[in-house]
Amino acid sequence: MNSLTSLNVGDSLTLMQYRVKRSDLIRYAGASLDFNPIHYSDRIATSVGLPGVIAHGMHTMGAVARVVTDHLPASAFVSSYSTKFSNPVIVPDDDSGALVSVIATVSAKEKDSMFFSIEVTCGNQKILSQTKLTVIFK
Amino acid sequence: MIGFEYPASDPLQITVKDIQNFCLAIGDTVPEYAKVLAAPPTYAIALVMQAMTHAMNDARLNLNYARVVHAEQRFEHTRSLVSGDLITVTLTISDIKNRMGNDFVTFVARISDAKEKLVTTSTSVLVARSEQQ
Repeated sequence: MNSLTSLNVGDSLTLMQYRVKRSDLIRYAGASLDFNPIHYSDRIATSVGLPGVIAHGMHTMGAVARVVTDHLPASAFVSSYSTKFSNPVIVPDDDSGALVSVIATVSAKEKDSMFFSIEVTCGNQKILSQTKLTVIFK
Repeated sequence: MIGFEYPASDPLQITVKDIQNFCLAIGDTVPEYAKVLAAPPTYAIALVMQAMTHAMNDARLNLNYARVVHAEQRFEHTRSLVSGDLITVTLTISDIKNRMGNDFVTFVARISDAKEKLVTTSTSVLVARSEQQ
Protein backbone atom coordinates (compact mmCIF):
# COMPACT_ATOMS: atom_id res chain seq x y z
CA MET A 1 0.00 0.00 0.00
CA ASN A 2 1.48 3.35 -0.98
CA SER A 3 -1.37 5.66 -0.01
CA LEU A 4 0.56 6.99 3.00
CA THR A 5 3.71 7.83 1.06
CA SER A 6 1.67 9.59 -1.62
CA LEU A 7 0.58 12.19 0.95
CA ASN A 8 2.37 15.53 1.11
CA VAL A 9 3.13 17.86 3.98
CA GLY A 10 -0.10 19.51 5.08
CA ASP A 11 -2.31 16.69 3.79
CA SER A 12 -4.68 15.02 6.26
CA LEU A 13 -5.76 11.43 6.48
CA THR A 14 -9.48 10.65 6.50
CA LEU A 15 -11.25 11.60 9.72
CA MET A 16 -11.59 8.60 12.03
CA GLN A 17 -14.31 8.33 14.65
CA TYR A 18 -14.88 5.64 17.21
CA ARG A 19 -17.11 5.05 20.20
CA VAL A 20 -15.79 4.02 23.58
CA LYS A 21 -18.09 2.29 26.03
CA ARG A 22 -17.68 0.96 29.56
CA SER A 23 -17.17 -2.55 28.20
CA ASP A 24 -14.22 -1.28 26.11
CA LEU A 25 -12.56 -0.02 29.29
CA ILE A 26 -12.98 -3.38 31.01
CA ARG A 27 -11.38 -5.07 28.02
CA TYR A 28 -8.57 -2.51 27.93
CA ALA A 29 -7.91 -2.91 31.67
CA GLY A 30 -7.43 -6.64 31.16
CA ALA A 31 -5.23 -6.30 28.08
CA SER A 32 -3.05 -3.50 29.48
CA LEU A 33 -3.00 -4.59 33.15
CA ASP A 34 -4.10 -1.08 34.19
CA PHE A 35 -6.75 -1.77 36.82
CA ASN A 36 -7.04 1.71 38.30
CA PRO A 37 -10.68 1.78 39.60
CA ILE A 38 -11.32 5.26 38.12
CA HIS A 39 -11.74 3.38 34.81
CA TYR A 40 -14.65 1.23 36.01
CA SER A 41 -16.12 2.57 39.27
CA ASP A 42 -18.22 5.77 39.32
CA ARG A 43 -18.10 5.64 43.10
CA ILE A 44 -14.32 5.82 43.22
CA ALA A 45 -14.00 8.18 40.24
CA THR A 46 -16.34 10.74 41.80
CA SER A 47 -14.73 10.30 45.24
CA VAL A 48 -11.45 11.59 43.79
CA GLY A 49 -13.10 14.56 42.09
CA LEU A 50 -13.61 13.19 38.57
CA PRO A 51 -16.98 13.71 36.81
CA GLY A 52 -17.36 9.93 36.47
CA VAL A 53 -15.59 6.94 34.96
CA ILE A 54 -12.95 8.08 32.46
CA ALA A 55 -11.17 6.17 29.71
CA HIS A 56 -7.55 5.19 30.27
CA GLY A 57 -5.42 7.86 28.62
CA MET A 58 -3.47 4.97 27.13
CA HIS A 59 -6.66 3.52 25.63
CA THR A 60 -7.15 6.79 23.77
CA MET A 61 -3.49 6.99 22.75
CA GLY A 62 -3.63 3.40 21.48
CA ALA A 63 -6.96 3.72 19.67
CA VAL A 64 -6.15 6.99 17.90
CA ALA A 65 -2.82 5.71 16.49
CA ARG A 66 -4.94 3.58 14.15
CA VAL A 67 -5.65 6.72 12.12
CA VAL A 68 -2.10 6.21 10.79
CA THR A 69 -1.25 2.57 11.54
CA ASP A 70 -4.30 1.22 9.68
CA HIS A 71 -2.49 2.41 6.53
CA LEU A 72 1.01 1.11 7.35
CA PRO A 73 2.63 -1.35 4.99
CA ALA A 74 4.23 -4.37 6.69
CA SER A 75 7.68 -2.94 5.99
CA ALA A 76 7.05 0.18 8.10
CA PHE A 77 6.98 0.72 11.84
CA VAL A 78 6.23 3.51 14.31
CA SER A 79 9.57 4.75 15.67
CA SER A 80 8.24 7.48 17.92
CA TYR A 81 4.86 8.33 19.39
CA SER A 82 4.19 10.91 22.07
CA THR A 83 1.33 12.90 23.57
CA LYS A 84 0.10 14.95 26.48
CA PHE A 85 -3.24 14.08 28.06
CA SER A 86 -5.22 17.35 28.29
CA ASN A 87 -8.76 16.25 29.11
CA PRO A 88 -10.24 12.88 30.00
CA VAL A 89 -12.76 11.03 27.83
CA ILE A 90 -15.75 10.70 30.15
CA VAL A 91 -17.47 7.41 29.41
CA PRO A 92 -21.16 7.27 30.36
CA ASP A 93 -22.76 4.04 31.56
CA ASP A 94 -25.03 3.65 28.51
CA ASP A 95 -25.17 1.82 25.17
CA SER A 96 -23.65 4.53 22.99
CA GLY A 97 -20.63 5.59 25.04
CA ALA A 98 -18.45 8.55 24.07
CA LEU A 99 -17.67 9.53 20.48
CA VAL A 100 -14.01 10.39 19.80
CA SER A 101 -12.87 12.13 16.58
CA VAL A 102 -9.34 11.80 15.25
CA ILE A 103 -7.55 13.56 12.42
CA ALA A 104 -3.90 13.17 11.40
CA THR A 105 -1.91 15.61 9.28
CA VAL A 106 1.49 15.11 7.65
CA SER A 107 3.82 17.58 9.38
CA ALA A 108 7.07 16.57 7.66
CA LYS A 109 8.36 14.01 5.21
CA GLU A 110 11.84 12.62 4.59
CA LYS A 111 13.21 9.91 2.35
CA ASP A 112 12.46 7.01 4.71
CA SER A 113 10.18 8.57 7.28
CA MET A 114 6.97 10.51 7.74
CA PHE A 115 5.91 12.70 10.65
CA PHE A 116 2.29 13.13 11.65
CA SER A 117 0.50 15.37 14.11
CA ILE A 118 -2.77 14.01 15.46
CA GLU A 119 -5.76 15.98 16.80
CA VAL A 120 -8.19 14.21 19.12
CA THR A 121 -11.50 15.65 20.30
CA CYS A 122 -14.57 14.44 22.19
CA GLY A 123 -17.57 16.77 22.01
CA ASN A 124 -15.90 20.18 21.85
CA GLN A 125 -13.03 19.19 24.15
CA LYS A 126 -9.48 18.57 23.08
CA ILE A 127 -8.48 15.22 24.60
CA LEU A 128 -4.81 14.96 23.61
CA SER A 129 -2.31 17.67 22.78
CA GLN A 130 1.09 17.77 21.08
CA THR A 131 0.42 14.30 19.68
CA LYS A 132 3.21 13.33 17.30
CA LEU A 133 3.83 10.04 15.52
CA THR A 134 6.77 9.11 13.32
CA VAL A 135 6.78 6.26 10.82
CA ILE A 136 9.95 4.72 9.40
CA PHE A 137 9.79 2.86 6.09
CA LYS A 138 12.45 0.16 5.90
CA MET B 1 14.07 8.51 44.78
CA ILE B 2 15.09 10.38 41.60
CA GLY B 3 17.38 8.08 39.62
CA PHE B 4 16.11 5.02 41.50
CA GLU B 5 16.12 1.89 39.33
CA TYR B 6 13.85 -1.01 40.22
CA PRO B 7 15.26 -4.53 39.75
CA ALA B 8 14.90 -5.75 36.15
CA SER B 9 11.83 -7.88 35.45
CA ASP B 10 12.12 -11.59 34.79
CA PRO B 11 12.29 -12.32 31.05
CA LEU B 12 8.79 -12.43 29.58
CA GLN B 13 7.74 -13.95 26.28
CA ILE B 14 5.22 -11.95 24.26
CA THR B 15 2.55 -14.23 22.81
CA VAL B 16 0.30 -13.84 19.78
CA LYS B 17 -2.64 -13.94 22.18
CA ASP B 18 -1.26 -11.04 24.28
CA ILE B 19 -0.98 -8.87 21.18
CA GLN B 20 -4.38 -9.97 19.84
CA ASN B 21 -6.07 -9.09 23.14
CA PHE B 22 -4.41 -5.69 23.16
CA CYS B 23 -5.39 -5.03 19.53
CA LEU B 24 -9.00 -5.95 20.25
CA ALA B 25 -9.01 -3.60 23.24
CA ILE B 26 -7.98 -0.60 21.12
CA GLY B 27 -10.20 -1.55 18.18
CA ASP B 28 -7.31 -2.63 15.99
CA THR B 29 -8.08 -5.29 13.44
CA VAL B 30 -5.97 -8.43 13.72
CA PRO B 31 -5.79 -11.60 11.69
CA GLU B 32 -7.63 -14.40 13.46
CA TYR B 33 -4.82 -16.86 12.86
CA ALA B 34 -1.28 -15.54 12.79
CA LYS B 35 2.04 -17.16 13.56
CA VAL B 36 3.82 -13.87 14.24
CA LEU B 37 2.19 -10.54 15.05
CA ALA B 38 3.76 -7.10 15.25
CA ALA B 39 2.50 -5.19 18.27
CA PRO B 40 0.82 -1.78 17.94
CA PRO B 41 3.01 1.16 19.05
CA THR B 42 1.40 1.51 22.50
CA TYR B 43 1.43 -2.22 23.36
CA ALA B 44 4.64 -1.63 25.31
CA ILE B 45 2.60 -0.02 28.08
CA ALA B 46 1.15 -3.44 28.94
CA LEU B 47 4.71 -4.64 29.53
CA VAL B 48 5.63 -1.78 31.85
CA MET B 49 2.28 -1.33 33.63
CA GLN B 50 2.87 -3.94 36.31
CA ALA B 51 6.23 -2.46 37.23
CA MET B 52 4.78 1.05 37.19
CA THR B 53 1.75 0.10 39.31
CA HIS B 54 4.06 -1.57 41.79
CA ALA B 55 6.16 1.60 41.92
CA MET B 56 3.14 3.88 42.32
CA ASN B 57 2.10 1.83 45.33
CA ASP B 58 5.64 2.05 46.70
CA ALA B 59 5.14 3.56 50.14
CA ARG B 60 8.30 5.62 49.71
CA LEU B 61 6.59 7.63 46.93
CA ASN B 62 3.53 8.19 49.11
CA LEU B 63 1.06 8.58 46.21
CA ASN B 64 -2.69 7.99 46.30
CA TYR B 65 -3.17 5.50 43.43
CA ALA B 66 -6.84 6.42 42.76
CA ARG B 67 -5.74 10.05 42.34
CA VAL B 68 -3.11 9.10 39.75
CA VAL B 69 -3.72 10.01 36.11
CA HIS B 70 -1.45 9.99 33.11
CA ALA B 71 -0.08 13.41 32.11
CA GLU B 72 2.33 12.59 29.28
CA GLN B 73 3.54 9.53 27.40
CA ARG B 74 6.27 8.94 24.86
CA PHE B 75 7.45 5.79 23.12
CA GLU B 76 10.64 5.42 21.13
CA HIS B 77 10.97 2.15 19.19
CA THR B 78 14.01 0.81 17.33
CA ARG B 79 11.63 -1.76 15.76
CA SER B 80 8.14 -3.11 16.46
CA LEU B 81 7.81 -5.56 19.34
CA VAL B 82 6.65 -8.89 17.92
CA SER B 83 5.18 -12.07 19.31
CA GLY B 84 7.92 -14.45 20.33
CA ASP B 85 10.10 -11.65 21.68
CA LEU B 86 11.62 -12.56 25.03
CA ILE B 87 11.82 -9.18 26.74
CA THR B 88 13.14 -7.68 29.95
CA VAL B 89 11.88 -4.43 31.47
CA THR B 90 13.90 -2.06 33.63
CA LEU B 91 12.08 0.83 35.28
CA THR B 92 13.73 4.01 36.53
CA ILE B 93 12.26 7.03 38.28
CA SER B 94 13.80 9.86 36.30
CA ASP B 95 12.06 12.83 37.90
CA ILE B 96 9.73 13.80 40.73
CA LYS B 97 8.31 17.26 41.20
CA ASN B 98 5.47 19.00 42.93
CA ARG B 99 3.55 21.68 41.05
CA MET B 100 0.62 23.45 42.72
CA GLY B 101 0.12 20.57 45.12
CA ASN B 102 0.19 17.91 42.40
CA ASP B 103 2.94 15.27 42.45
CA PHE B 104 4.47 14.55 39.03
CA VAL B 105 6.52 11.36 38.70
CA THR B 106 8.42 10.51 35.50
CA PHE B 107 9.09 6.83 34.86
CA VAL B 108 11.44 5.64 32.13
CA ALA B 109 11.05 1.98 31.18
CA ARG B 110 13.49 0.28 28.86
CA ILE B 111 12.46 -2.90 27.08
CA SER B 112 15.27 -5.08 25.75
CA ASP B 113 15.07 -8.25 23.72
CA ALA B 114 16.78 -11.64 24.21
CA LYS B 115 19.94 -10.27 22.54
CA GLU B 116 19.90 -7.45 25.13
CA LYS B 117 19.20 -4.95 22.37
CA LEU B 118 17.04 -1.99 23.33
CA VAL B 119 13.69 -2.18 21.50
CA THR B 120 11.54 0.37 23.30
CA THR B 121 11.97 3.30 25.64
CA SER B 122 8.72 4.33 27.31
CA THR B 123 8.58 7.60 29.22
CA SER B 124 5.49 8.14 31.37
CA VAL B 125 4.67 11.24 33.38
CA LEU B 126 2.06 10.36 35.98
CA VAL B 127 0.40 12.88 38.24
CA ALA B 128 -1.16 12.26 41.61
CA ARG B 129 -3.66 15.10 41.75
CA SER B 130 -3.76 17.18 44.88
CA GLU B 131 -6.44 16.31 47.49
CA GLN B 132 -7.72 19.89 47.07
CA GLN B 133 -9.06 19.19 43.56
